[in-house]
Amino acid sequence: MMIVSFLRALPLSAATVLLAPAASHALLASTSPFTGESVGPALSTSPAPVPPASPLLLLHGMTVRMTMEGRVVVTTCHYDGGIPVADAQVTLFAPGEDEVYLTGTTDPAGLFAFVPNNPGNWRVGVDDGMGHRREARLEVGAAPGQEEHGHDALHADHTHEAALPHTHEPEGSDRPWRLAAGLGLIFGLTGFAYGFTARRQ
Amino acid sequence: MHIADGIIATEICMGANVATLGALYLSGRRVEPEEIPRMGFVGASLFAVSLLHFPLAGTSVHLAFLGLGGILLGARVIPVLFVALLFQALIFQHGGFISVGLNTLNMGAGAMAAAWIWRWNVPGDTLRAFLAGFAAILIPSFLMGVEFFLTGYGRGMLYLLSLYAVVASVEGLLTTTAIRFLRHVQPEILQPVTT
Repeated sequence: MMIVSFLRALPLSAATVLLAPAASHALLASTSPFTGESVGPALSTSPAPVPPASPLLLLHGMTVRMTMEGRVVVTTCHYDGGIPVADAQVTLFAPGEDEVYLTGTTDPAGLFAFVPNNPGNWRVGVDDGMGHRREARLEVGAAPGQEEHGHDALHADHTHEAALPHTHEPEGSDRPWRLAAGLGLIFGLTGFAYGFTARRQ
Repeated sequence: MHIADGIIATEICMGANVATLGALYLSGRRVEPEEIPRMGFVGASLFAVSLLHFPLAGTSVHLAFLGLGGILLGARVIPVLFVALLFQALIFQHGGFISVGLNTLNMGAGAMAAAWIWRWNVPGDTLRAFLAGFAAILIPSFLMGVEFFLTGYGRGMLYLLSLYAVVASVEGLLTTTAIRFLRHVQPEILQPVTT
C-alpha cells in the first residue's frame, strides 16, 4: 500500500512528453541534493545512447539502471533499443525512508544523477507519463573517510571522481528469445485448449 | 496503452480484475474446438505486435492489432487478449499483473467496438475496416485517460489522445490492408466460425 500511495502522489508530465525534443547531448540537468551544485558539466562528455539500427529490434519496454560513477549515482533510463527516456519524472528515496527525498526529471539523454549522502539502499522510481514506470535500487557502500569528513568529503572528491569515464551502453537484448518463448507458450496453450475443448465434446 | 502496476488506483484495478473474470466467463463459454486455432494465431499476433514500438513525438508508441482481433474473433477476443497481456506482463514486464484486468477491459472494449463496427452494413469493407481499427485504439486510449483522471493525475493523459489518434490512423490503415488481403486470399476467415 505504501508503494501505491507514493505513486499516486507523482505528478504526470504528459503534456511535456509531447514536447520532448530528440536527444542530442548528454547533459546532466540534475543538481546534487547535498551540495546544491550542479553535477552536470563535469559529466557532460558522455556520449548519447546510439539509436538502434534495425526497427525490428525496437521492442517495447523501459529499462532503468543505476550505476555508481565515483560518488555520483547515475540513473540511466532508456526504452528497449536504446532510445533515451527524456523528461520522465524521477522520484528518489533515501535508504530506509518512505518520504520522497528528491524529485526531478531525466534529461534529453535519459539521465538523472544525484550524490548520495548516506550508505544504504537508494531507490528511484521513473515514470515517463505514458504509463511506463520502473523502479531501480542501488546499494551504496560507505565511502572511506565519509564518516570523518562528512559533507566536505563528498564535495572534495567531486571533480576527481567526475573525471572517470562514464559509459552507459544499452544491455544486450534477449528480447527476441523472450518473444520466441512467449509465442511458443501461446501456441502450446492453443494446442492444450484445442484438446480440452475437443475432449469435452 | 499498457498500464503498469502501481499507476492506477488499486481499487480501480481490483474492480477491473473482478469485472474481467466475469467478461472472461461470458465471452469464453462454449468455445468450440474449431475456433481455437484462429484464437491461437490472433493471440500470437496480439502478443508479438505490441512489442514492436516506434518513436513518435518524443515517446514510443506501438501497434496493437486490436481492430483486427475484434473483426476476426468477435467476443472471443477477450480471453485471447487476456492471455496475450498476461504473457506480456510475465515475459516482458510490459503492463502489470494487478493491472492486467484493467488493460484487458480497456483494450477489449476497443476490440469489441471494432467487432461491432465490422457488422454494420452501410459503408464498404475498406471504410468499415479503417473505422474498426481506428476505434479499437482510440477507445482504449480514452478509457485510459479517464482512469488516469479518476486516480488523480489530472487531465494530462487526455491530451495524449491526439497522439493516439495518429497511432489509431496507422492502425486503421493496417487493418484495412489486412482485411483487403484476407478478403482476397481467404474470405471465409472474415466470417464467424461455423460448426
